[in-house]
Amino acid sequence: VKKQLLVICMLLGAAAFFLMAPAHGTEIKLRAGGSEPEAQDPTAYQLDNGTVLEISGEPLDLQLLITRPGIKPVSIALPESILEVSSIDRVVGRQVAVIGDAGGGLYDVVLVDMTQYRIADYFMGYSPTISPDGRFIAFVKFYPTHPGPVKVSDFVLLYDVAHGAVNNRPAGISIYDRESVGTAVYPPGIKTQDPDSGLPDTAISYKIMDDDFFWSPDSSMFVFSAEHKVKSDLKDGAALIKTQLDLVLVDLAMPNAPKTSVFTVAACVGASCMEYLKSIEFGADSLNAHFGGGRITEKQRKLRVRYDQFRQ
Amino acid sequence: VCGSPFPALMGYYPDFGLVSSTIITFVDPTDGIPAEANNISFRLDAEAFALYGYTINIAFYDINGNLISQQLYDYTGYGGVCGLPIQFPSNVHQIAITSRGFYTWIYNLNFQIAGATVNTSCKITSASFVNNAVMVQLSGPSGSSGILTVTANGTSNNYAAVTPTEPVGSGAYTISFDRPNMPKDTYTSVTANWDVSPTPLMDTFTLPNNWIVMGIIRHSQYNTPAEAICKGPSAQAWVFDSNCNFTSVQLNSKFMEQVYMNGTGKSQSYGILKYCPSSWGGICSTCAAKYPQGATSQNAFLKVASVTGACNTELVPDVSVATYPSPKTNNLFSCSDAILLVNTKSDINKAVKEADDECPACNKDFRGAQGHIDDYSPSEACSAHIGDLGKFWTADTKGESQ
Repeated sequence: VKKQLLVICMLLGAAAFFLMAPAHGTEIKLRAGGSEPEAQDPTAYQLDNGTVLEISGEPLDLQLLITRPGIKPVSIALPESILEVSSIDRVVGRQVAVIGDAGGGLYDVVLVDMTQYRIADYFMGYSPTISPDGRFIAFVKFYPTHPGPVKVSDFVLLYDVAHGAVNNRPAGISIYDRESVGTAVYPPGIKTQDPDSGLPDTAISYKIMDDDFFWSPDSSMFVFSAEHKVKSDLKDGAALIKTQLDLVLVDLAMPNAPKTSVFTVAACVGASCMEYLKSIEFGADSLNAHFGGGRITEKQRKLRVRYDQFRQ
Repeated sequence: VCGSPFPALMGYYPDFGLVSSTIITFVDPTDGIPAEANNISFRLDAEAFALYGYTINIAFYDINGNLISQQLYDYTGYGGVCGLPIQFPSNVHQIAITSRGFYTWIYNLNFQIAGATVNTSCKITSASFVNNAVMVQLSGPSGSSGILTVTANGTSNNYAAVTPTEPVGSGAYTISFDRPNMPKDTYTSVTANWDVSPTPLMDTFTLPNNWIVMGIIRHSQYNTPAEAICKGPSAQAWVFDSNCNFTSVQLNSKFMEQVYMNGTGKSQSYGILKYCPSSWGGICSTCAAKYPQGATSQNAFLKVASVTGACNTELVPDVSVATYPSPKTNNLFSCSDAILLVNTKSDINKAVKEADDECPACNKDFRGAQGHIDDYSPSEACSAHIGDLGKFWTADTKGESQ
């Protein structure tokens, strides 16, 4: 009887959690001050229904403690690679996304199932950015933070939180795989499981220049800036390295078939334009992009681009 | 006896009762050819040491050895003479100071070689960013002075150094910059302006190594994860050499995770281990084809002799840093570039490090700074990354490291 009562309580609690809670709880963000894992205070995320998600423990040995009135606290061990937790967000599918700083710009994304109080999925990547509606997570595919002399390239992948661990991995890829996760959206033509490090010298290396991806308020698209080397000209008999800076738009009007299109912003001499997106304003038929950095003109830095100017 | 500055320029101590002399001869300083001088002045002090006649005779000769004038001073009794009232003639080649019964000394000798042009100049003799010192040599006629300004010339701005607010005269000056407020730019030269009458002077010093100011940079830290520090259970693993000889071993699970994430790790029993997936080609590809059953790129690691970075050189703790773009691309950074870290409040050097490795994700995650560099740390930890070193004003000084 006790077990049955406990199960009923848990079910009622879970239902209350999602019925009463707002779309997002009290968001925590710890990314501003630099990484100081030794100094991280216990971190809590509270929902309006009284559920508290609390981070405790030491770097590489952190726990997510879930407490709610009437329910026995549940402790979930977070992946051992997390130095400090950067954010906790509500996402769809009765889950929360815990994003942990693993150092070197790398992040662990942990999806916690709040009905069964367990980790539903876990993967690694750079710049993970959750869509406003909590449905998607755009991120750059994992590679080692210090790969040495091998060539690496940024691949942008899109995780659909509504689809779970299995459906976010290509056929044949284990759900425990933390790299080959999500749908490949950039650069064109790649597959999720394609290697992004140790690439041959002839391969074009792509670089995502922004801290985060820029989601439209309605979560129907996201934008980022990317650069890659283009065919070099010859100047005075020597190869002149040029880099192309692109604005990339991923349209999710059909969530299962994201459409990626590109608007070329500039070509810079050298191996990088050293530019990044400072802000994006999404309009009805166009967007305003504002770049920061150093190697493009002022005119190129503030752009108004119609959506039909993006090319697939 | 006169409060004279010490030491004197020249002087003598005559033997008791005897006569001694000081001879001043003017020559061209560039070639030593005898010359005549004008506008001569010096101060002569003396002290008597006996009770009988004391004399000082000062004789002036032209370039042909002819006596121009002489002045004899005759005193009686003990005592001192402070600042003998000397009349200095023009076109003097030689001065003979002869005294009896006196200690005699002179100082503050000034003169101008007759017929010579007094060169007025403003010259930057050196400029060091690491020492924050621009050496400026100013010279002009006696009494000339003007406001001195020094600027570092960048591709998009000129940044003024901290210089005296009052006019300055001839002399050597060490000028420094308020580095933490120096804007992000590539500086190629330093210019000194001396606003001296009648014609202001300027000198531009081309820096042998450009100063690439990056601004306030977040310095995160990475190390080589050490298995000895890792807690928790061990698991089945393999280590292999460059001939693909696999050895079945037990390695700490957290350690393996860190090797996979960072790229390298220091094991307790098998030396330095490297993550080596098939896609990395070469040995990694060859040996991946020979993985024992159960081995994957995340539990089978290549044994290497040392921890090397993108520049293929051994990483040095507290010295090596990892950058984006990679130093091996020679875009912004180059391998072995000196990276200067300066405390943003005190303007004191924190360190001069070296670009040896690539940090592919350091084009982001600035956390409020203007850039991101990952510093290789001597810290012994299980994790590849530890807390930040901090935010420092940072510049790539290329070859200048001290």
